[in-house]
Amino acid sequence: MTTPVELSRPLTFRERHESKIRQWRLYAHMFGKSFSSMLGLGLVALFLLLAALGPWLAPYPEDTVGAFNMANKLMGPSAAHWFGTDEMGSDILSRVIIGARTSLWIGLIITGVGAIIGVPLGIIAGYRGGWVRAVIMRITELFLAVPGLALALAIVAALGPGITNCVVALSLVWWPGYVRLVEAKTLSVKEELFVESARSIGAKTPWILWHHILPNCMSPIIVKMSMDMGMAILSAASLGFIGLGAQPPAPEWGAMISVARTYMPDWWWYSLFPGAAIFLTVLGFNLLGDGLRDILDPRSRDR
Amino acid sequence: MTGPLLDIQNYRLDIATFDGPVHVLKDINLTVNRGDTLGIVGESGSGKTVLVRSVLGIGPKASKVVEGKIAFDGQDITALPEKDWTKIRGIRISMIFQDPMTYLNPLFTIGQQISDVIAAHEKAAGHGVSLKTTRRARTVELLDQVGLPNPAMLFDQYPHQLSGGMRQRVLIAMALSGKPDLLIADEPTTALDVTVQAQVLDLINSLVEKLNLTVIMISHDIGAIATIAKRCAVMYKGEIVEQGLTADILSAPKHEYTRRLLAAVPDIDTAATKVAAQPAVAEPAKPGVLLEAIGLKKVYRSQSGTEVTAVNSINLSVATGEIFGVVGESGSGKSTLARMLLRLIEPTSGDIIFDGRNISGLTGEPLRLMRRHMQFVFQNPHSALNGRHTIGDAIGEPLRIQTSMSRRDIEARVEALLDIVQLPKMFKYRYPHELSGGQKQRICIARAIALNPRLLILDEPTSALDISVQAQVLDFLQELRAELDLTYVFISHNLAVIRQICDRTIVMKRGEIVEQGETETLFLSPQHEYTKALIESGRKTSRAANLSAPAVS
Repeated sequence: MTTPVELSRPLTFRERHESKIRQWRLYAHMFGKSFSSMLGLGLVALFLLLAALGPWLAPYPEDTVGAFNMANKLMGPSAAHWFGTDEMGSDILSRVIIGARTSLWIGLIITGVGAIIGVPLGIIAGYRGGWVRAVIMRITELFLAVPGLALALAIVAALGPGITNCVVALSLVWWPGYVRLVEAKTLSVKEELFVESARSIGAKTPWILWHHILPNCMSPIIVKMSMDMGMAILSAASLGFIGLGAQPPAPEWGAMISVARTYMPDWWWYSLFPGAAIFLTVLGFNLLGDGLRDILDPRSRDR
Repeated sequence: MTGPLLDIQNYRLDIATFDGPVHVLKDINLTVNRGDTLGIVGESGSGKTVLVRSVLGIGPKASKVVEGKIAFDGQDITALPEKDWTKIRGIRISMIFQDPMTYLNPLFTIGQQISDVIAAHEKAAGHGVSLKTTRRARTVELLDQVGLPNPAMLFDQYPHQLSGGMRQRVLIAMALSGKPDLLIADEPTTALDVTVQAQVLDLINSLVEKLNLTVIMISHDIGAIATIAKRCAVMYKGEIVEQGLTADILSAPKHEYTRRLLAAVPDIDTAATKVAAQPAVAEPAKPGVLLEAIGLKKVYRSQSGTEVTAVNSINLSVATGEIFGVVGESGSGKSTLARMLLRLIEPTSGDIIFDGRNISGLTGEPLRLMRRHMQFVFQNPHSALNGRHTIGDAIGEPLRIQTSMSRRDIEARVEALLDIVQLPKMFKYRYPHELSGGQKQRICIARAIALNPRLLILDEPTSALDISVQAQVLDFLQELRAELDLTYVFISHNLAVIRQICDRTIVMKRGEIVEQGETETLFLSPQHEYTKALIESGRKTSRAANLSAPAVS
């Protein structure tokens, strides 16, 4: 057995965290090797950048809060207006950039609330078993049986259109996926020896759930959240498109396309650029999720 | 036919990993002649499996042959295209794998799986596939050849209906279906019980004689190798450190590693020397009973409603300070018993008395507090540690749960514990996957003794470890017991290990105690048939490995 020389001086940060550093370098290495993962990461980074710096990047920030300039209405892409202008003469580029923040906000809240409701329910259902599990899972299945978007439509219709109600409705239909995922993972993790080992040293159930089960469920949760970001943004845009989400003239991509629809195909730039923004964002999050799954899930890993 | 059947020359293999290439095989030179039986011994990670898999062209994916070549029957197979492999794999060379449970497809009958293999071979050989009935007849013949009773009926059975030993025989039959020139057996007995191990080894031996097979057998168990192989190669860290006639190597090992390996093999026929003196002398003051079980019983109810009695009305008492052995084959209920003693599984009926207190009715907080006095060491250290926790977290966990020690005190205690289990303090920042099996088991032990328990229940603590590591861990456990005044319940299927360290032993079969008593008496004059059978099969491999030190008892 190789016994490293015992050191008397306190260890440096680098020495103490050597294992972690190596792990992260391995992740970075594997992630960097895959073109599609890097593309996803690039798209997501671009999107986050737009969301963070939108007001400073947009060339005509006043156009996003309702200013109009009828003299410029429906101009094609040009040097002054890269993405053209809409029927109110507002700059589409500015509106798309500002829309990123709305979309990010929507995506984060929906997946966040979905995970916050779904993960604890899933862990409890998986760990406790018996009638607790039966009740939780039957309710989950009830929600899963109704198409999510249709259910969200019904909820928004009842609450009244608007971006807040749209987020509430989508959050309410988003959690069942997490319950399913986490329950399945918990069922396999709880059979692991280290859980029994923790019980044998007298750990209480909350301790086991928090320190043993949850950390081992994290990878699929992270992957699903990253993919869900894209889907949530898409769903919110869909609701906006049919007029139940954000209301025009709010700079939300779905709502913009909804209005632009009547200007097709002659004023193509009006719907193309918001549409492309949705497309690239959703693609970015999906590729990122795929990439994360490849590095986090050892089974799909190609050593 | 003049040349050797298999000729490996200066073979070097690298596997590319994130940390750069790993030299898995270094300068391997090996020749196998027709009719030879060659054993390859080595610890896990010594590269023995990679070597034979390369012979079959199913080596690891990211591997690269740096130098050298493998020639089979005069043909260079180092860089053979996949198409040509189909004419060799399974037909000229075939392989038996370690775990018979996972290498059979549970959805198909035994007969169909073997018939399919035969059909595949016929297709590969180029002449048309024979009729279903012919193949059936051939399959039955094969099953008969490997000594399975009633092969015609077996044809239509599914893998789950067979025992482990029978499944291994089926796999051997499958491997023989192509009439191979070379049979490679990768740890064919490791996953099996002692009595079954002996039978399978006998079978391989008889097949070698009958069919004039050439066999390469890999094992970490030098006893198994000694029973089968006439020649033997010892592998260590990707190199063959020694090869020659098995008898020569066993009686006069030349390389230092081989000597260490041989010394580590526990001998079933040697009485323990170290232990016997200690317990009685060390603690004359408290001869009390520490743990007692009265009428302990566990009944499982399967989904179809039938009841299976895993443990049936067991009475036992463990005296303070002794090492109490529990022996039995898989399925004998020893693990269930161990978990019931710790209240990890609820007994169906019966009482457990620990230190004069009946703990079978405890629930909630009292049960939780009681747990600090009795700890469990699990069979498989690889899965008993949470891969997301550092070693420091793992050892500190019981302290955080059971005591109100401050973070700083816990850190200090963790370092002290690492010292006790003879591992460097640095390890507390490491993760389990960076450690070897033996080191992980030490961590598990450190975790178990963190709360100064009085009783340790060890469930096959060494069976997942290499032999040389096993010897270290066993020695270490004995030292620890003397130091910390512990009582052990030691569960194992390995009789030699039991004999080496246990004071008293019970033998379990199908949930019942068939024999109990002083370990020495048990080994010298076993009363029950089952005990005799166990010792006899254990002796078979053990004796073969201990040719060098004959007639001790």
